[in-house]
Amino acid sequence: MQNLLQARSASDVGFSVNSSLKFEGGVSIDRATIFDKIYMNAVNRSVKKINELKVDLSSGADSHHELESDAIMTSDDDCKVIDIPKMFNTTVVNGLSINTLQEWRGIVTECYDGYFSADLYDLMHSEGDRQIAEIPLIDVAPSDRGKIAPGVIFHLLVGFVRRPGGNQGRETMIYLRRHKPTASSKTAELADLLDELV
Amino acid sequence: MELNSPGEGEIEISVFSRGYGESICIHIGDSRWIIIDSLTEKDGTPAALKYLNSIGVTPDRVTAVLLTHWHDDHVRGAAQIVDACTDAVIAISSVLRHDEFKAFLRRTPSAAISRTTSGVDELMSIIKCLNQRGKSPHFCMANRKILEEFNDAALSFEALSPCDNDFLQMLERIAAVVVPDGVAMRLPAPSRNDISVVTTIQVSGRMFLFGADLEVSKEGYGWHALHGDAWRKRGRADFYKVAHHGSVTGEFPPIWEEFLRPDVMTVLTPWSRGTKLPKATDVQRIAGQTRNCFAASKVRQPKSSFAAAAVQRSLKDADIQVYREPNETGHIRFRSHGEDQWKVDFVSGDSCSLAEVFG
Repeated sequence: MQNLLQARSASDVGFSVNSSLKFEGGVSIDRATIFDKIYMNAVNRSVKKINELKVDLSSGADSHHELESDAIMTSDDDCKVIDIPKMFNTTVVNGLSINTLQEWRGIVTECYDGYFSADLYDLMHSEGDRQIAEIPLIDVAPSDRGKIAPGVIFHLLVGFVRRPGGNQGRETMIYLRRHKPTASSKTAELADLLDELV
Repeated sequence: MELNSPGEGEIEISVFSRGYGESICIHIGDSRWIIIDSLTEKDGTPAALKYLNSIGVTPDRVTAVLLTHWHDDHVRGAAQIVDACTDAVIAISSVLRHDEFKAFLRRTPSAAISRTTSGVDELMSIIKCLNQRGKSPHFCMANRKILEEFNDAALSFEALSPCDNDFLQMLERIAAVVVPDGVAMRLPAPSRNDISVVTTIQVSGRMFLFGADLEVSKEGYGWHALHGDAWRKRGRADFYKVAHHGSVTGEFPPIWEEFLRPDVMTVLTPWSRGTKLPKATDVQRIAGQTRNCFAASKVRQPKSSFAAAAVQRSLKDADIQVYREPNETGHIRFRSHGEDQWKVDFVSGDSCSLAEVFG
């Protein structure tokens, strides 16, 4: 664990930066391209995902995160070889397992003809700025398209999907945050505060 | 550019924009300021406070803070401004005091997620702050003065909208908002700008018009109501912050014909998202009305955001554009000692003349 936290590049943890990683289904990724992006944030991501999981559970979200990267957090102190696939966070959306390369939480800001714009908040990088996205409606599942409206919260993921047959492929996925309304919502609290105005 | 504070009797109107959001600081003389709306810098500081601090003005010199309407591009950082400006009159939408709005809040559960509920959080912080101070906000309605002083400078800061019709229509719209079942969302904002607060500042016999985001609607509503009711015989303004980012939906010909002096000094704040404003036809239309037209920033084209190559390729395959907000805030400054004596400074960012707004 100590070595892992101190490592700053691919060579620090014992593999060549010029090689590629091969996954089931023939997909290969250049290690040097992805390593820094994935590795340097792996520990932070794990902690964030645990917090995220707590929030999702409390609000009734219908997706779940398998914290495979927990294996990194608890691995042997002397371990120098990282199982790269385990560095991904795995999210299950609509029955598909996705190894996440990048994930944002988004809020729909405006809807236009055939697309919508949204504010995105990076869930993978702790100091990520707000970003802006323009997303075609066709990228949203048909059953969810009618729900896209200003204010709706969704997740945008890019990653490698493991299909039931075992094949993998890089995909972009959008799923809406499910919400279990609670009695003590912020909006009700705001209404109470307005009542207290002098 | 070296920043300095305006002279005692000098009028200053500083307009800030980042292609999304606007904020205006107005020096009304005697080292006193009014702030209209708020946008934040990249570091989260309200642009208005940062600027005032940079020219040595302390927040206690801010006399009034107006939030024209509750859209994100006009209120980001507003709670920080309200917190800092302890002596200021805080003017907000009168919709907030109505039972219909409170009922709407109580029946609209908003997801309790950090960093994504800024609208609610911003409003809560402001209301908490005012409650602690034991101060009520000023609720804006047409023909209601926010500030009025009968001294040598004869200051008047007055709301010209929303009118009663706009207000009732807004309450009806609130009642009709349907939250998609089972989907998490933040507090939905009204899609139109019917209750946006248009204001005038009259000081030392001069008048400046701030169009907020008010749009043209129909007889008895929006700009029509302002023309028929609120404006009356006020005279003509010699500065105009163009309504609704220069969009044709904010264009009401009597504004130019009856409310403004010929070749009035004008500025707009572009909207660089989605359909983008102003459009080339809007620029042409406004330039046809006055030779003195400016923009606080350019209409910015999206620049691809940082992401790993594999992520970029996936986004491209899905036709999704992800980009960052620009780093620097556009700031344009107008200073004047007397009518027709304006000095325009492009202080920072990509503020420009309107002819250059597309790059």
